[in-house]
Amino acid sequence: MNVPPPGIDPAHGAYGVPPPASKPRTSLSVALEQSRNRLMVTAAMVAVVFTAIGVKLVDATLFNHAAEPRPRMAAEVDAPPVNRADIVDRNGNLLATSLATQSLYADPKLISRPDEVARKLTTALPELDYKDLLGKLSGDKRFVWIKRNLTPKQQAAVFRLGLPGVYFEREERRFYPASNLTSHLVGFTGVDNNGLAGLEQQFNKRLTTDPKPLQLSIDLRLQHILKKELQATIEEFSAIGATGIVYDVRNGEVLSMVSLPDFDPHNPTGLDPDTLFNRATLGVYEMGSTFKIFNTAMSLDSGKIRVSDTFDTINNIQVGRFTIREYHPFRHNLTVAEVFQESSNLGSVRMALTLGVQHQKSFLTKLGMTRPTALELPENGWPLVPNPWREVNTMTISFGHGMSVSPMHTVNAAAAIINGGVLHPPTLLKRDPAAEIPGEQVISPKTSAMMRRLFRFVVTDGTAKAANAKGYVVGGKTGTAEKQKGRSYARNSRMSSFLGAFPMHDPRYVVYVLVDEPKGTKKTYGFATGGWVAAPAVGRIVKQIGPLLGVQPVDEASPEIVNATFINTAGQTTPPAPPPPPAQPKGSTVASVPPAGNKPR
Amino acid sequence: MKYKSALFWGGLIAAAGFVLFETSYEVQELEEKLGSLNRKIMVEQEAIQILKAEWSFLNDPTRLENLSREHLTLQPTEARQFVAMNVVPMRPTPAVAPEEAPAPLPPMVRNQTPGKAPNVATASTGDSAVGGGAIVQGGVQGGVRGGVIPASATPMKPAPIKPSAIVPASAKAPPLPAAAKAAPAPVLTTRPTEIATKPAGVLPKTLTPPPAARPQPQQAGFQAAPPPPQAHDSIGVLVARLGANR
Repeated sequence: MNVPPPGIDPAHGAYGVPPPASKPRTSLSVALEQSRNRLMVTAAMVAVVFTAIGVKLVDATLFNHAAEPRPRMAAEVDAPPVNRADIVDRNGNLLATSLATQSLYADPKLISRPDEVARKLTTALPELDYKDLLGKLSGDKRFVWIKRNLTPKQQAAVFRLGLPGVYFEREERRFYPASNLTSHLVGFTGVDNNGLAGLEQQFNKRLTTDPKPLQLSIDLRLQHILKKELQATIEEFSAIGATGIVYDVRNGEVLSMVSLPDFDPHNPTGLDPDTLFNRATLGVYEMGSTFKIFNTAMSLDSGKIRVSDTFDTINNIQVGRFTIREYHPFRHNLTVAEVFQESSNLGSVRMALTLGVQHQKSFLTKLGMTRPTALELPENGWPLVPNPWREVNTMTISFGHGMSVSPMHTVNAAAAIINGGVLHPPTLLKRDPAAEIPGEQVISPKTSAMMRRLFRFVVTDGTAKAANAKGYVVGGKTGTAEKQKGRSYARNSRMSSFLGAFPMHDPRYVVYVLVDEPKGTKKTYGFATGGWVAAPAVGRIVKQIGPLLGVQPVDEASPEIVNATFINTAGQTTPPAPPPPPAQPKGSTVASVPPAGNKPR
Repeated sequence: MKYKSALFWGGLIAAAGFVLFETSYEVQELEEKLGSLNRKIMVEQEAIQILKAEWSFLNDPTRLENLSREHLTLQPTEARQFVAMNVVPMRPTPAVAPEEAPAPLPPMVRNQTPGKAPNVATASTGDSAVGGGAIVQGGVQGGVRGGVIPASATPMKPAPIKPSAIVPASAKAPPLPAAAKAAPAPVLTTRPTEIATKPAGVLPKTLTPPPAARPQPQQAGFQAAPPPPQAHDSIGVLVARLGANR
């Protein structure tokens, strides 16, 4: 709007034209005209201002741009009232959650009698130190923490004191209902709720941005069973530690993973730092004979070696100043099946040498043995791979020495060996059943089927008879590695392990147990090898987890099972023509109904 | 005229202003209410969160196992306690539709001795353990079954398991013939162990009842145990065979 400034009449502007002559210019008419014009100008200005106010008013009230958004929405009912999402197991059991707690702080400026306040607070919260508190309260600061994360009871006690200058602040505290059971997996957070270890650290961002619970592939029940059996094994053999993994061979889900000793995630600091060490993923060890799984699979998959081929297992191999020999010497040469069954070192070395250094290197690389696994844990160990990879390394690696991998590597690769040859990346998160499972074919299904027979053979006739869990057709491979102490191997400190899988006619799960430095007992005649230490533990675990996993027990003597798992020392896979007299009538899949005449149990 | 229109507009503005004023206050009030409700929801959610945590804490498998060891006699399930579905025998379909039965029978009534003459009521001891009295078998039905179906294991038509099943059968059963009342209730002898010792293959196929009719004094210690499954109680037989109910 073009409004002339007051006092300037457009008609009588400084350079304006004189008024028309027709009207007589009297002083009165001039004054009238002037005042009328001034009025008009004033009115116009008022109108302008009011219009502006009106426009602004409409804008502010109707359009509501600048105003603070008002809480027009009801609070979401499903959203958790905390800032960090829960972690749950595969069945929805809580593994980690955040609870709102109250923390107590004081403003010393507002406290007139610090001694009295300190005295009263120490009566309500006996764990506080009076002198320390008095010092805090008589300081010059405007803010001191007195105690963080009070329990509701403590809060009520302090509340009842009615002290001025003492306040509560809402805070969140991470709580782990399963406590030690999943401590290495879930990890823990610091006092400001940032993940410092385990999945809490790995998924810190995800947990703070997405309120949906993070669902793991872990099953809390299996976790408990695994831990219980490992604990029992540690106690029985006075071992210093143990680790175990239950793994789904079909999709790479880790169903359970325990590393002992473990720790309390509510109080992870100030303890033995050894307890924080995750042996299952971070620890890399020479695996011993379990590596013969990969050596044998590599040999059979190459097509150059058949399971019935024999290798010299009598003459020791001399490499430099070392001699490679058998744990128990053999008096005759063994077939590949026997090499696996009896865990022959010499046979394994000669099998590896037949194929050469490069073949072994590329095969183990294909199995993911030279890089950390894809597992979603920050504690993911790098394998110790020989560099350069010489012939002597090939020899020792063939029976599991000279190369260190984590138990997770071993389980992951072994699952691929028996599941039809597909290597799935391991995961701790529950897989979406609709999504496609990533995987890579690493060996042929035919080799895999042969390996399944060999696995079963070790349990039926080999070094791991103790691992059998009747009805679950367990197979596997034992492993005993001597630990390196300094620059040499210590004879009496071992890593004894057993890699089991069940049911062998259609493998579903791998159960792995590794015991660190077990000592032989009277019951085991002083032996502390994988077959004596880890295999019975796996047998016990399979017996307990089989029903939970929904694996149907079968009659191990039934022709279908025998046909699917049979192999003999000569490497023949057809069972002898008249199968062993069936204890059960045909068609029955009842595992072990007591035969006639026996009382049940 | 001019005055009237001014009055009209003025009135309209005043009314609009009033309504606006009212509405804004109403909104303010509702917002306050919403705020307090939201706060309450938060408090409840926090309480739920704590309860959930406590629930998980109390359901910790380690704790549960200790409790179960302390208070229960349960043991981990063994492989031999599982049976495949196809081993569980199907109930033989009656040749004559069971609709011919005159009246619905008490749920626990079962046909145990079809070989006997029709219209003779028999007492079932398995039930006597439950109901404490003899149970009648419907005469007509007994006749039909006894005559047509040789397989003695034929159970009655599926009786809905009602709470009334626990009520003493004599209270519910149709009037008994005097003879049946007087007859001492034969004692069931098929103990789980005996059933279990039977050749495994025989039971699922034919479900021939063990010679249950021969009377035998019950052992004192056996009384306390739950009633043994009846011969034609196929699931019960299987359970007994597997030794699971001991």
